[in-house]
Amino acid sequence: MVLNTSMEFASAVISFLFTIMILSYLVGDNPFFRLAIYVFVGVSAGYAASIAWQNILWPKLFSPLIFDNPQQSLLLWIPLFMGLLLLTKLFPRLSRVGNPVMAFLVGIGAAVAIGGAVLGTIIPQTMASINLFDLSSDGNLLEKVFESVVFIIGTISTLAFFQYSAKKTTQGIKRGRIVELLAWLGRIFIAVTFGVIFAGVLTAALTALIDRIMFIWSFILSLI
Amino acid sequence: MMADIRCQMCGKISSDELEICPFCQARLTPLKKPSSDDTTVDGINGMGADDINSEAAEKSSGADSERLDFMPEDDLGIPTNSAEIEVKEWLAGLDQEGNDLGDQQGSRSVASSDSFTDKTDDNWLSRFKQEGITSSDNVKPERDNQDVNLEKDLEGWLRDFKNGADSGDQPLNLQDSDLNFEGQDSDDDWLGRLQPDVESQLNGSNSESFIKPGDSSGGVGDSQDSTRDPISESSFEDIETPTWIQNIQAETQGLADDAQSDESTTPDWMSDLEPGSDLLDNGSDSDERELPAWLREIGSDSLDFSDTVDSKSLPLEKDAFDSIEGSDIRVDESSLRKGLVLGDDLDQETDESFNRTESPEPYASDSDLLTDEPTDEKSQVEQSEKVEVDQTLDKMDDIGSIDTISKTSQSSELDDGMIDDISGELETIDLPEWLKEIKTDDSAQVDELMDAEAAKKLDDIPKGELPEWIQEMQPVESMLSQEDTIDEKLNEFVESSGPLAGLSGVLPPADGIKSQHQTTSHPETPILTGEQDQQVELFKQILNSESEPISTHKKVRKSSSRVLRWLVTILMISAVILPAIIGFPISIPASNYPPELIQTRQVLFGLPADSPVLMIFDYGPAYSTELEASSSSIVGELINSNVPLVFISTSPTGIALADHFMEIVKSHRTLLIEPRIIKLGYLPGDIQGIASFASNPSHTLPFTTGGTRAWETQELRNVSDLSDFSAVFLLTENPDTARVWVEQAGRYLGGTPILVAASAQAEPMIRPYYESKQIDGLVTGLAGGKAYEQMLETSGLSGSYWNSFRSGLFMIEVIIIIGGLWSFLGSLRVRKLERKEEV
Repeated sequence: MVLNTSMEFASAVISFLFTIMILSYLVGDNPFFRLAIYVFVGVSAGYAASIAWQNILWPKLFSPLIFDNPQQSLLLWIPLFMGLLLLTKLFPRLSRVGNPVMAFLVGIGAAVAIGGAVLGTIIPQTMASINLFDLSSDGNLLEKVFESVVFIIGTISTLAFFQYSAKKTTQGIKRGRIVELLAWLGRIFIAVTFGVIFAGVLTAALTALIDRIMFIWSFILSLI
Repeated sequence: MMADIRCQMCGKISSDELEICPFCQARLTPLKKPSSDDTTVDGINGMGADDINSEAAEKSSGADSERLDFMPEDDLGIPTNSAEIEVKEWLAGLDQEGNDLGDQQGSRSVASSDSFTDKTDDNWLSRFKQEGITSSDNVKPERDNQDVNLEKDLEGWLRDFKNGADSGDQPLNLQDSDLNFEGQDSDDDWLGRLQPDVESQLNGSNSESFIKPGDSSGGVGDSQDSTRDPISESSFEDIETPTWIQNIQAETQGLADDAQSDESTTPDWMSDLEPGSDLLDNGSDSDERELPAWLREIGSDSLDFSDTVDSKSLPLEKDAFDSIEGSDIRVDESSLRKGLVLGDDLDQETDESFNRTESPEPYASDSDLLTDEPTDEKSQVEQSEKVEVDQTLDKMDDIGSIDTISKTSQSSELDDGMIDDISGELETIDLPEWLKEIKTDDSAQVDELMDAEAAKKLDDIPKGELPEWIQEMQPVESMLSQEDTIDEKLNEFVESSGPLAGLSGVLPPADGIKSQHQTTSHPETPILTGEQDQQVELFKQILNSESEPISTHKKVRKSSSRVLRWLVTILMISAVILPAIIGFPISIPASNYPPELIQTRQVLFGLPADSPVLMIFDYGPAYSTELEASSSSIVGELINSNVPLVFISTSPTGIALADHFMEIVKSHRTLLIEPRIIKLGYLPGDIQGIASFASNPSHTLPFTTGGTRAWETQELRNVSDLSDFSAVFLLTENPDTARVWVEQAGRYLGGTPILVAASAQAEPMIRPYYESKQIDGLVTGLAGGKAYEQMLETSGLSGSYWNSFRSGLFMIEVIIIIGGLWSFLGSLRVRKLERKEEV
């Protein structure tokens, strides 16, 4: 990487230092690591605030209220008022004033989430699971059967693993043998799933590590 | 004109025509027939000797004469001289009166009434004694509610009694009675000589205290009751018998001896008074034995009179006052009053004086107790008579308190000469033989019977029946004695040690504590044996070992983890850098292209030109490298296809990452044309914002990040809905973000394909949506980007990181395998050690 400008050099130096500071966590928690964390959090928060003001509050709320026709922007007073009420949540004594607005947001969010979950996840996923047993579709039949069996076993056993209903026996509280067997299988499927997720996290982290190592290597080479 | 009369019991005003008080059912008028000569005198001060004599004469000649008719002469066997006949008749009246009272007083007087009705049983005097004692005992609990001051005055009364005894009151009464019993013909003169002195005494004394009847009887009665006032008994002991009384005693003793020698002259009814008679069952207290025999006799006789004798049945007073009228003997007012008590317990005149001197409440209370629901007129009459008798007893008791006031002034006025004159006159009196016998018999008989009966009486009295005033006095006395004792102890105690040393009056420790805390001296150093020394040393070692801190920090494990950490770091960095330095290529076989990648490729190739593609940058800065590596080739291809790109992000930093993404694309991909990019910017509201944008994109984000109207630009002019985009390309590392976009925007997409470039960590959660065909294409991680580049036969960012990625994955796999083996071997070693330990 060639550092063409001083601005790029400065940003490269800062990036290098902050990368080293983050990697210093290898020796344990230290002030450099904490400083880098605080800087990243602060910069991210500041950047988010500026984005909220620049992209949302000013062009969509205050600019119309100030410069546009008041009659056209009459409805904007409602979100402004609700936003001010929501700011009262910062003060414990006045936090009750913001409860209605918070309730409004939570209620709308819950309604939207439930509707989307039902229509966008539960029904389509259920239908997809059923379609796996459609042997008339294209593909190898044996492969489809195997995939379908593994899929249904994995689904049922995983659900059985989260079955916590049990009966009192002389040996204590235990689930039934069938449920226990399915739960044992479900635990295997869950372990495989977590393994896959961990592999994905590991590969994502490895990718980030490669990027940072390659950046450091490039920066060092550029200095030389 | 009707006049009012005040009830003696309750003190309320009633008409004088009524005989019984309508309020308390007590008799308002005495039991005698009113006569024309019976003039009402306000007080005894106004009562002259003539009045007294006339009144006494009426009593004797009136109703009493009728009562004496009940006494059979044959049974009495008394000589028929005039004096004896009078005594006989009077005793008969007493007998009848006793019968009446016996009928009224229930079980208490049943025996008495029986004895009275028995004509052959002539020991009426002993029965009176018994009756009087019994009645006084029975009435006594009812009088416990009287004022405590009254009880306190008993002592003063006893002093007065002493004075009265010194002045010859009690003997005078007795002598008066004796005189009348014996005959008044020969002794009228000496009583008559008393009249002038009596008048002088009455005029100079307090009439209110003088007129109280029942003095002697009450006094003697009280003296007999040891439980009522024990203090008064000591007063009796201190009484110095005057000489004239001693003379009387000597004379009576001599008469008694004569009577014993001549028993044939004793009437039959008197024979029952001999020692051993059962009729004298209710003896007095043991303390009474300390009194002279004649005094106990007087007391019992007086009490009997007070209990039983009606005002109409007293010829003694008439005779006595008749004799007084013509004599010059000076009589003390108390003796005269006692005579009145014996003769007339309650005259109206004296009652008024009583009402002026004391409160009627005690009488009212007593009458309330005694008058329980009279059912008919007869019972009311009986009840009233009963009340009258009890009233007499009460007033006899009260006399003590009143005498305390009157006697203190009067006793000092007694003239010794007058007493000598009276005693001289009394010595000349000849008592009848039967009366002498009574005295002599009583002197020995009463003593014996008193002892037995007093013991029996004390046993019969339950402890719970003690009057309250006695119970209240006991703790007070005990407390006073205790306080005095404590004060004396405190004053004597001087503190000898401590900060209070030398001070007196300091509270000393309790005796019990003192005795309990007596300590014995012990040696300062214990004497231990050899075994005990060893045990002490062992105990010290145990304590020292317990107090030493135990280090739970294992330095070995910490050093090993740090080494392992550095070792893994070095290995990983080496695995990443070495491939980049060496640069040996590692390619992916074409047969291993994932189907979602192939489908993505097909979608991208099918996009129409000039149709905008919505690119959603919803990932964090930490995953920018992975997503840039996986999607840069795709975006470069879109740019080269002249597809307008509309950037949007639900993260505030998304647009900045998008800018960085485009720089990466430009740096690693050869762009044939200038990219057409419209930045709608940050989409707020999370899931609500996504739903709003999916339903109405132009209304949700009308402006670009530069402030221009996005939907009026050439690229978005034909776009009004989400389905108007040629494709939706989502870049995210969060599976939830991908799910929300799929859920909220899926129903608005219509035929618009949605492609997802996800991080490798989100692939397991996003792949189901690809399997359900809710996602048309999926590119995951650096491997997906490398595969897509290889598919396009181009080089990009994924290719430059691919070698390091592969070597790093290899190193990770090696470390995982080595770590697994190490852990397995370590567990085996632990098990072997455990087995060895078990063996």
